[in-house]
Amino acid sequence: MEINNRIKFHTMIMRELQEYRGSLLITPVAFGGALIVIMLVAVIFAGRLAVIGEGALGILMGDEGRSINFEVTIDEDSSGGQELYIDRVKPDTSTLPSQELTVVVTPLEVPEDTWNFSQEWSFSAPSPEPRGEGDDIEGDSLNPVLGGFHNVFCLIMFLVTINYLLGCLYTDRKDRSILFWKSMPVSEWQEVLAKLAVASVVVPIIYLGVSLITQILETYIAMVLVWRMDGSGTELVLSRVQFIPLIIDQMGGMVVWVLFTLPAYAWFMLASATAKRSPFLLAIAIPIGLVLGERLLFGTQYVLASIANHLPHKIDGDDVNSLGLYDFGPVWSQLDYLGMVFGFVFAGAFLAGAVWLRKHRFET
Amino acid sequence: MATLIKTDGLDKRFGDTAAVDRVSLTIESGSITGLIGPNGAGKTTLLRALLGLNACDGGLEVMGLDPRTDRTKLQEQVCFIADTAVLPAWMKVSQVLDYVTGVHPRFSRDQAEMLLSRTEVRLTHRVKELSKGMTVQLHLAIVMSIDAKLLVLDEPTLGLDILFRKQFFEQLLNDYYDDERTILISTHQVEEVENILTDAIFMRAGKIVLHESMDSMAQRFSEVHVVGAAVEQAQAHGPLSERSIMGGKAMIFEDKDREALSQLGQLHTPSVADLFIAKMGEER
Repeated sequence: MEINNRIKFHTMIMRELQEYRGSLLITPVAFGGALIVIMLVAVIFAGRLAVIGEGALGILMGDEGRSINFEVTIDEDSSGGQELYIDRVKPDTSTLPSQELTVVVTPLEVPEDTWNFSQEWSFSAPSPEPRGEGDDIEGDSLNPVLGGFHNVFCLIMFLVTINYLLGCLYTDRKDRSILFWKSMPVSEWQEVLAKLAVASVVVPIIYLGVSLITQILETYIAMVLVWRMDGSGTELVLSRVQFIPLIIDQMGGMVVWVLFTLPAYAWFMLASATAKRSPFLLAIAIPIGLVLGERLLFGTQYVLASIANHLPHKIDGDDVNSLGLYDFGPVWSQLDYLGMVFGFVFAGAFLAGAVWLRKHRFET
Repeated sequence: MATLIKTDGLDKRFGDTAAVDRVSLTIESGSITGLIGPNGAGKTTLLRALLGLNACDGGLEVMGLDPRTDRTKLQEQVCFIADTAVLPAWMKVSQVLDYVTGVHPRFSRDQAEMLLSRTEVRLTHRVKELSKGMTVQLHLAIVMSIDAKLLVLDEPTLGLDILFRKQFFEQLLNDYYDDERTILISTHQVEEVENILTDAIFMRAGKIVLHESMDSMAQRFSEVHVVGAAVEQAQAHGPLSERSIMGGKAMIFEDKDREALSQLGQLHTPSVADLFIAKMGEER
C-alpha cells in the first residue's frame, strides 16, 4: 500500500489516542456530561428548589453588576435553634421551627477577596477586567460565567496533558515495547513530533470542542431553568451570552495556550525521554533547583518568572501578556511575543534532546 | 546471490568491555544464518548494530544502507523481532494491525489476518490477554505479512514451550522463506534451528569464532566414534574435542582427511550443537 506521511502521522496520532483514551477523550466528555447532568437535575427539581431558584433569579436580576455574592449564615439564636433568612424571598422576620438549618442568600456587598471561615462564608466572583480592545460586550454579560466552566476544562486539560507527556516517551521504554515501535519504518523525529502534536493540537481541539458544546448546552439548560421559575430565559440568559465573541475568545485563548506552553510541554517530553525511574520528579526537580539556585546566588527570580510565563496561570490586573485562564480572551496586542519566541527556541532544543535520547539512550 | 550485510571491523564497547569486537562478516541474500553463542557473547548487540539501534564503530552496510543514518529507510526492507513480548500490552490485536497497516508500506493486512485465523489469537484480544506463545504467534504473523528482504530474529522463541518453538520454525520455513529472503536468527538453543540453517556463525566474547555454510561445515568437520585401543591413536590426530560415549569416545576433528579418520572408527557429521561446544571449548 502506498503510505504517505499524512497517513503515517494520522496512524501515529490514533495510536496515542487509543493508548490515552481515558484521559484524553473520556475525561473531558465525562466532565462535560457531569456538568450537564447537574444542570438537568437542577431543572427537574426546579419546582422544589423554587425558593433557592428565586434567590438565584435575584442574583441574575440583581443590580450588582457581574459580581456574584453568596453568604451563608448559621445563626444560632438563644433558643438553640437556627434560622433561615432568604433575602427577597422571605422577610427577615420569618421564623422557622427550631432545629432547622437556615441559609441566607443575600446580595451582600462583601469586599472582594474576602474569605471568612468563621460564622460567615462568602465567595465573591472577581469582576472581569475590562477588555483592552473591541469592548462591545454588554456590561452584564454571562460570558465570564461560561469562561469559568471553560477554565476548569483548561485546567483538567493541563493536568492530563502533563500526565500524557511524562508517560509518552517513558512507558514504552519501561515495558520494552519501544523495540516494536523501532521495528517500524518511523523515525524518532516523526515519533516525537506526533506525540507533541497530540499534546499541542489534538488535545486542545478535543477539550475546546467538548467545552464549547458543554457551554452551549449549559446555556440552554439555564434558559429552561429560568423558564421553569417563570422568568424569561431569553432575556435573562440568552441575550446575555455572546456566542460568537465567546467562541473567538476561547479559540484565541487556546491558540495562546498552545504557543506559550510549547517549551513546557517539550520539557516534559525531554524528562520523559530521559528518566530512568520517575519522569515527574526529574521534570520538577531541575526547575526547582534552578529557581532556588538563582535565588540563593543572585537573589533574583528571572528563572521563576520565565517558567511561570509558559505555564497557565490566572490573568488579572494588568498582567495580560501571557497565557492564562481568562474571563474573556487574550489581549493580542499585549502578548509577550518575545517571550513566546524564546519559548520556541527552548522547545526546539528540548525536542532535539528528546529525539537524540530516543535514538541513543532508549534502554532503561 | 548478493551481499546483504557487510561489516568491516565493527566494534561496540561498553566501558572497557567489547560487546562486539572488530567483527568482519558478510551475509549473502537467500541464506538462513544462525547466530549462535552463549549468553553475553554479544549476539544481541551485534544484531542491534545491524538494525541501527546501537551506535557502533567500523564499517557497516545493510542492503546498501548504513543503518546508523538510514534506519527508517532500512526498516521498510528489514523486519525484526527483538525479543519475545515487546508488543505493547495495552493494544488490541486489531489496533496493532491498524498501526502496522498505517505506517508500513509493505505490510499486507489480509495476509496477517489469514495467518492469525489459524491461531487462537482473535482481533478483539488485547495483547496483555494473550499467552506468551500467542503473543509470539501474533508478532510472527505481523512480520510474515511484511514483504521484507531481511528478517532478523533475536531469540524469538525464548520462554516458549517446545510445541510453540517447533511450530514457529516450521512456519517460518514453510510459509515465509524463499530464495529471495534472508533470515538471521540468534539463539542459544542450537538443536532447534540447526535443521533449518544454511549458515552458522558461532560467537563468543564479542568475536566470531566460526562462520561456515552448513555444507562446508559437513566437509571440514568430522566426528569419529572411537572404541577401545583406537582412542589413543585417534587422540594423536589432535581432535578439537572429545566426549565419552558408550564404550569409548566421540571426537570431533577439523580439516582432517576423512579417509584416514574412517580407519579409526565410525565416521559421522557432527551436530551443530556438538560442534558449537567443541569450538567454545577450544577457545577457553
